Amino acid sequence: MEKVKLFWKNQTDYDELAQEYGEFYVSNFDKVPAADGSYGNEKPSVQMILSATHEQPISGFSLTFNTSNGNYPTQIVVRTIYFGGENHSVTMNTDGPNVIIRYDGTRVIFSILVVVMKAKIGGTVLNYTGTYCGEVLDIDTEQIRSIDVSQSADISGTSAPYSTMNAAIDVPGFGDVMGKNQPVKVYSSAREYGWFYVNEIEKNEDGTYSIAARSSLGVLADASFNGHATGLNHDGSSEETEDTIYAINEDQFDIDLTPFSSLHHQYTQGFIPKGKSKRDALRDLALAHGMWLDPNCQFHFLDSSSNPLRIEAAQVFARPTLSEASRISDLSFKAWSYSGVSYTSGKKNTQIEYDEGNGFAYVYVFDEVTKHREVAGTAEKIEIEDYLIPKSSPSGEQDDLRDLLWSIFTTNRRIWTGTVLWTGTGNECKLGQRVSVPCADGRRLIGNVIKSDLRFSGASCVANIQVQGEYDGNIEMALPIFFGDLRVTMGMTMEPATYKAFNLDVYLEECGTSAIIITRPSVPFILNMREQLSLAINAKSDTAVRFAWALLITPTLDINAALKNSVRAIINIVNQELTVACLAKLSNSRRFKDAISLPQLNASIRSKIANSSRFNLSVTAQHLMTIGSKNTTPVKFILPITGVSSITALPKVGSSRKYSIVISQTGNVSISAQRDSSARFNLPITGESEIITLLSASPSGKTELDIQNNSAAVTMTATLTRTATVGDYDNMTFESLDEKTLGEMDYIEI
Amino acid sequence: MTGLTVNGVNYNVRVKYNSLKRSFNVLSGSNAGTNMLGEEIPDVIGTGYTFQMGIEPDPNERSAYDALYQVLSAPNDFVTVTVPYGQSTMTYKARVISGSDTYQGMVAGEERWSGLSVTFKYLKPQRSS
Repeated sequence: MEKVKLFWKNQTDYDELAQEYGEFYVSNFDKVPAADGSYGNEKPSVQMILSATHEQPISGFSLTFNTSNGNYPTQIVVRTIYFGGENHSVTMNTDGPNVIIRYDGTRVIFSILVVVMKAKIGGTVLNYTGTYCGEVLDIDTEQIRSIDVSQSADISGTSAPYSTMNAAIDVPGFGDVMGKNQPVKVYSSAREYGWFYVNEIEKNEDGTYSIAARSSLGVLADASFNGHATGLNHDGSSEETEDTIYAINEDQFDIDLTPFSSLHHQYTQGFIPKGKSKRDALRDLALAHGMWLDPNCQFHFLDSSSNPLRIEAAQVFARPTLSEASRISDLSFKAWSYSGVSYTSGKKNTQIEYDEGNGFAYVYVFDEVTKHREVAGTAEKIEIEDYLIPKSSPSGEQDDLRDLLWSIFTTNRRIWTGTVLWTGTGNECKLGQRVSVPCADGRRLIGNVIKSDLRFSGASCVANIQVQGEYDGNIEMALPIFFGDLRVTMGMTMEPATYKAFNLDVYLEECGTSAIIITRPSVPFILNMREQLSLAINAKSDTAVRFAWALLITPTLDINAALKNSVRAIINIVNQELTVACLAKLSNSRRFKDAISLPQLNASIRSKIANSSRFNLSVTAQHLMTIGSKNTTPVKFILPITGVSSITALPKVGSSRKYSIVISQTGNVSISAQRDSSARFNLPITGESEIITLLSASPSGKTELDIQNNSAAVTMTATLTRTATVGDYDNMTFESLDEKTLGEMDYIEI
Repeated sequence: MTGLTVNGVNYNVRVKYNSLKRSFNVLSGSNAGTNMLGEEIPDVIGTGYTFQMGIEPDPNERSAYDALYQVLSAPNDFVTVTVPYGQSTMTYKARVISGSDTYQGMVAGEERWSGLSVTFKYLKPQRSS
């Protein structure tokens, strides 16, 4: 069970105290108290002898105890000696695992002796765990009104977001002892969620405190770096990256330099301009070495393990979503290169580093390298300022890590968003972790965790995480798909097959409300047909896509529903000889009502809808798609018939009638005419944007005859198709449902 | 346990025989939900107890009944009440969610009220998971 706690520590722990302040002596904590908890002559004690020069006023000390055996001090004597010789002793009764000794911070303390007089439980030793300068507060779950932790990472390394923690706590007097930048640890019995540094404390009207804190990188984001040339020094020696990191961090936070030990480019060459934040300066170093910077100032290589941590569907809350990150067309690196000591005043794109001691001005000039690819549609251009060039010493070998970054930007661009139950001590929600996550359509996406917002409850921690990655190429059908009350369970191995033409008819009528369980069929279905349909109607509605998917993957369905206050949907997939029916709650759907008034619906259908409880919508998706390798072969798909805005019969001239067809999209247009149930025939033409084609009776005698003898209604339809590019295919998203239900499904184009 | 203790004050009233009822709710936290397989993901945060009882005045001290009524019907967020629990008692913060009693007329110069029925509902789980 997770029970989140907060642990506050004003300044430093025992070891650091010893280094910073002076001498520490810990004695007799191995002594066993008498039955009443009292000690004999050898009493446990802690003595601290402080130097006179401790920099900060001391507000107090805390002695901490592990109380797993139930024991802790109940009475202590504190003897304080101030510089100048004055001393003061006080007997204190204490309660709980933390013994807190407070001072007003106005006097300089020479030594403090804390002697334990009595323990809570006789016959049991005290488990002393440490002494902290300042006040230690261990805030238990009951004192935490709310807590949110938001963590983000940019695994490309081009930005370096920091984490935030917001909490509301109910601890009287809390604000009196806590101040800005004091560290607080969020932890539970299972794991540590990280250290944060207080940014704001606000006392609320009800006596609680609101705390806003950020991770160490957030602290550095507010600190300016004084400017620094990195890499080759002007005397020819090299400054290693580790030295540059030290110059930036100045030992403020612990930064693990282990990742740099495996590099053969030990330094970077370039210039970090003055005024840049320390956070961004560290980010520049990370980026130069192909690493990313986490919110706690730690450097990481992108985890591209082929053995990702698998997150099971049972661990993921229903309805994860998929989206696609913006596509990148250009990536430009702007680096400063050393050009010598000469300087032309006012020259553009120049940075100067002054060496006042020697009277030199080292000059760096601007250099730009750009990578570019052609991308259809809207794309983003990324500029990286102050790029540092990785170098090796002494050979001068250079690794072009720009290719690595470019590959990150041009692949792995799908974003999976879902809520995950964080179980045990696993790393499934850890930033940067390589994971395999289940998608709602049965596929899996493999990528890295780039965002992890934690939500604590009394008994658990869940994380809303984002994973950036790509499908693993396999279909693993073991998941149900949810459509509000509609649940479709599927599970089988699918193999690519030939696409087939089909018609999908959707009947909607008022009827009942209830959950429906559509059971898994025992026969395989055709995946690619599913994809075809999804592509055909995806542009209109993700919900519709998923709805259609569900239908296509369930050749047989068991219907189990009551009929009340809802809408019944009957779907016929003609060419597959499938007739399925399912129920959905649509009666209260705003979109359902909106759909009735869609201008695309012709007057006759609108009238039927208005006057009847049953009507028919139909979608025709023709077989025009061939998907080969996504990256090499263009694909075709059918767009909805939005391109045809009108078909108008022109006045008859003699025995011939012409039709005006207005097409507002560019593409290959096929025209078909159909009279009642007679066979459909096509009149292929090629249209251009905004053309009006006067279609004479047609080259087909039959058509001419039908139209001339126009005793029955003739319906002209036009289907606009076009050849899509790879970019179009990339544009297709396969998001699962979020808040939508089937009842809110968008309408399929008719 | 004699009388009823509310907000640390013991009121000399009588809890009607067979009227004290207790119930409990196992409470879920905000992290409860349904996973992708359609299974419940539990998030049990604890158990909350509700007590319902009928209260009668002690004929010798009707003022205690009136005072208790005044406290229970006050528009406060909660009261601290002590109730029987197992072989002991339990003191917890509770919301008084309803109460009603009956006017019995004036007898011997006293306005007589009796039959106070009151329900105490937990503010938060008394037992954490």
